[in-house]
Amino acid sequence: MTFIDRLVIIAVMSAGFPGRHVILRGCAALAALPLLAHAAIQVAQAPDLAELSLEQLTNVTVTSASRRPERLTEAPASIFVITGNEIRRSGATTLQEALRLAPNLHVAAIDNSQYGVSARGFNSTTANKLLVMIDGRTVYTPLFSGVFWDAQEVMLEDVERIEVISGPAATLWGANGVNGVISITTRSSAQTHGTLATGYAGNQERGGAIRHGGAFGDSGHYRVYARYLEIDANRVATGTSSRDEAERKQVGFRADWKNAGGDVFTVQGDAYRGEGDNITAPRSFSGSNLIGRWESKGEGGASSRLQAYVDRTDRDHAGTFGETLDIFDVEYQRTSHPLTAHTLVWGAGYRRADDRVRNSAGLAFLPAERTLRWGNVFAQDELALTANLQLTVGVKLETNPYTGHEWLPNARLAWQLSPDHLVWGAVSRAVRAPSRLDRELFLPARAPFVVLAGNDTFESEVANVAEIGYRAQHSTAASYSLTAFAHRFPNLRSVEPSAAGPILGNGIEGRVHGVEGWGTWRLNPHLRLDAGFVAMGHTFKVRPGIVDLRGFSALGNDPKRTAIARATWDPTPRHEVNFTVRHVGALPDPAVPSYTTLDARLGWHVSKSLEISLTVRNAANRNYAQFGTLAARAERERAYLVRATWGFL
Amino acid sequence: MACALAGLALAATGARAQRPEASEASVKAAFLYKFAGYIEWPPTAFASEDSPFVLAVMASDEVATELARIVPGRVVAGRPVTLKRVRDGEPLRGVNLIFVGRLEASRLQAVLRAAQQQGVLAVAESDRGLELGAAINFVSINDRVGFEVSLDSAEKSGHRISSRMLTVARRVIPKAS
Repeated sequence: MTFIDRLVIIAVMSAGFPGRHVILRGCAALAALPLLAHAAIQVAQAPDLAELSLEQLTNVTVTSASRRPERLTEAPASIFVITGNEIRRSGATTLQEALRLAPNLHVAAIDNSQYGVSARGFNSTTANKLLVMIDGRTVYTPLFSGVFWDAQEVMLEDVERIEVISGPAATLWGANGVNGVISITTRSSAQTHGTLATGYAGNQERGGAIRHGGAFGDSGHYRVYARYLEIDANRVATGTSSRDEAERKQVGFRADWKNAGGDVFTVQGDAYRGEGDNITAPRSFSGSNLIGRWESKGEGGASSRLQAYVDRTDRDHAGTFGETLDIFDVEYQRTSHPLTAHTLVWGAGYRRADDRVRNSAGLAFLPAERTLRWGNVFAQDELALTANLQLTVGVKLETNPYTGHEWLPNARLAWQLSPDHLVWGAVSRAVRAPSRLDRELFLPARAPFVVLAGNDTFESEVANVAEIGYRAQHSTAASYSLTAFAHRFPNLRSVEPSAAGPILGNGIEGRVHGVEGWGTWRLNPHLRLDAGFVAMGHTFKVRPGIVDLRGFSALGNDPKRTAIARATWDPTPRHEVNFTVRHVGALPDPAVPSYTTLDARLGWHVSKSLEISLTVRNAANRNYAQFGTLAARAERERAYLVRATWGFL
Repeated sequence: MACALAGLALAATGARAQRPEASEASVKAAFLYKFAGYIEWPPTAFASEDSPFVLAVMASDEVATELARIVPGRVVAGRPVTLKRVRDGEPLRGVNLIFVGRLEASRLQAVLRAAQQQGVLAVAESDRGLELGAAINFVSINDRVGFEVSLDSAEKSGHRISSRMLTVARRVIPKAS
């Protein structure tokens, strides 16, 4: 299934209601009130850490006030963190495969290049309710508010952590974070000195990477890297090739240094090129980006962060569509403690996209060339109400080129029952602003537009979300997190008849509800078990007076249940063993059977600088497919690969 | 509901904020001080009866700054604790416990080895700190700081670590048999 097939299918989807601000409008003003109301709060007493026991110290949450991702991790929200070490021990060779470690994501591949990744439903290869960032760089395309996953790679060995937030996190992060946020953070170059070389080969893929890092000046650090991978074609159900061979190359660098005042500066960039075929037509892509960042810590825990980047993407899908996209993005954020017991975060951002689409006879984005601008300002206050009750209120005002401005408020309450038990609740309003696809896509390229005509009245899709969660830590051995969620969508995308042809509207109402949870149990210093699950359901209905031509399956294709269990075992200090079992429930339309698969990895630290590992995926060798139509989707067979890594990990 | 939450917030009057939350450096500094109480210090580690207990820090201004707040007035093994900042290449004479921050792996390994040979218990914060020769290594997982222990390295530097401390460690490398 090509991107454009997907567009057509989506096109044949939902209808239009003007966006409505259902709740919280009046509360935006309240957000500022706690700041004024609590000037008289007693002086907060920082716990004297030296008086805590070792056990208690291991439970202290570490914050770094200058960095938003870490602040958010200890916020009352449903967050799963994938560490760099877990990625290494999973045997993953691509970023998309590494994301499978997060129980709160549904990662579904049609083939080696086309992935659908979503949280809390609405999955497709053009899933549009997730915000994805790599080192602060937003990688979703304004074309359809989703991600071309084939082009998103990082040097996996340099990843510090991947934070996966399910649920809206729009206030601090930005629009599009309706159902979740994926934030990929690479290590500072101060932590990647020396040379590392890794190579792997198996029955289905080969690849390798090399990185070199060191110091410069008094306080500067740098690294450069290059990586390459190639993946062989799979087979479709009939046994013929799915023709999805893929190849990707990428180089990049990062430099970090401090000035005399302790401010941290970072400059980093990547350049990449790749191609991937599929059952219908080949695609190729290339791109480059350059990021500059300044972080400053001031007196009393205050901090500032300024980041700007440019990002170019070129993409060609043979016979259907091509695009050259230039993004410029700048944002500023400041964290301070203006009053005792308050943490105030505020900031502003501006983003500009110059998008040039090469249309084909089958489809056209009109106008073909378009400049889009977005802006935002936001503020959030964290307020300690009592010793164990914390309130967070925030609001973001975002402007977009299509609907003017949107309000994104949220309120969260965290109740620390004891140092090891947290109950939290949150209500949020999140918004997915229109993309070019929603308003400017025409199928075919010339009238009559029998499949789809553009519609300049398509409104932002709104989500009103309530969540309640519980997190607990039992000694140092076990911890878990449970979250229940309910999302109401008053105006999802529909496909409606019009004089010009079918158009996209906002005519579907939806509800998504479910529970998600995960936990870790450390049986002894050498064996750890992790498990997670999501159980969810949805109801959709067409709004009164609306005719929907396409049906609800165009909104996404989601399993009702997913689950993952992992065992991480160090039988000796030099050997490591990992087992991962994943289960994904059946998808309704297009129908994909449920599957359960077992992956295993055996690693051996031959010496301090050499590691050899064997990874087996789908060890039981039961062919299974993950997503897409029967004719187009690749079926997975057993795969194994051997990897050697030399250097300091 | 949001308004209800906000209203509740305003109605509640504040007390003190005491969530267990701190900077990474301050947690590590507290750990370093606490570690000292779980380790058997050989009498030979001290030059005389009134020698202080010397905690040294290399390549981490943040942890040194936090330790400087903790150590005044503290006692370890019946001796007053003093803090010493050392640079890469400086001798470790008189040092009992050293924390080595982020150094290039080959440098780190050299420092850890030198410490081991001079009978100094070495603590690191590197991904492969134990493998590079540290007796204790900090690991940060999900916003919490934990530690792992190499009994092998501790023995080589002449130290015994209490089993109570080992129950809290995330990973323990046993003595080489």
